[in-house]
Amino acid sequence: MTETKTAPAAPAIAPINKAIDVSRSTTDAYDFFVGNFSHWWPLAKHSVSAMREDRQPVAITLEAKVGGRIFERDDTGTEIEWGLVKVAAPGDRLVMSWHPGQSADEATEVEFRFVATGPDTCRVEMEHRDWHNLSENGQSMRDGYSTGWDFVLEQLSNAYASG
Amino acid sequence: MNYEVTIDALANPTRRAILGRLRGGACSAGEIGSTLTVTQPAVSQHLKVLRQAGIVRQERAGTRRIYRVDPAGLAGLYDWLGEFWDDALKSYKEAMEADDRN
Repeated sequence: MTETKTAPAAPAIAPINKAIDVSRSTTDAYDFFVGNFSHWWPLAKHSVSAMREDRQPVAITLEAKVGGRIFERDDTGTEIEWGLVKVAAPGDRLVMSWHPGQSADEATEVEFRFVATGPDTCRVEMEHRDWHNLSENGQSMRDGYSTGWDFVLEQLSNAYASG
Repeated sequence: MNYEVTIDALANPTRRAILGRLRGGACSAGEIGSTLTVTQPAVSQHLKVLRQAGIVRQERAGTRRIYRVDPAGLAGLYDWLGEFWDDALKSYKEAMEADDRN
């Protein structure tokens, strides 16, 4: 039996992985993550409107269910979508498409995994991946431009490998 | 270096196309304009943004000005993304610890 494979058009870019240990069970850590997202997310520093001189971020919302939206609202009332929830498994994992400041078809993917390290402790692991979507699906490809994102991602990949 | 400037610079498809063109080798603004369907003033404006972000640098070749990619300008972007998630996770953990104290 032959396996059907789709050849990747862009170079494979290593995902970004981060993890922290917290003093909560996986269930509690997950519930706090989604239930208090608008409180703990560092919106003033990390939001699309915070990057613009003429806008201020006001709020961020995470709808923690499959198909739910993650979106920011700025001081003009405009909503900026960051992504959609793909997997919402309480106490286990949360997967979202991720495209703050980009169009949805250029979405990367972010996964949070809640892994027990003890009865009341766990590790929260984050993986940010699927960088190839930036170059395969991006506006620059549709416009018939040469591979600007491929180049950028290649540079990033090199920087990552040498760092 | 402010990496938000880098990200802003890369968020534009025409600027990424210019980078794609420069990937093939350093060239003048006129050469960029002739291969992309972009007006010359627009090319100049985009090159200015890319230079300010540290992604492209300008050099003189005799009387010509040529543009070349500066990989150092992109090198820090991956680090910035790493710090982005460090910040977010730290903020999450601190909020939980504050909640534990109450």
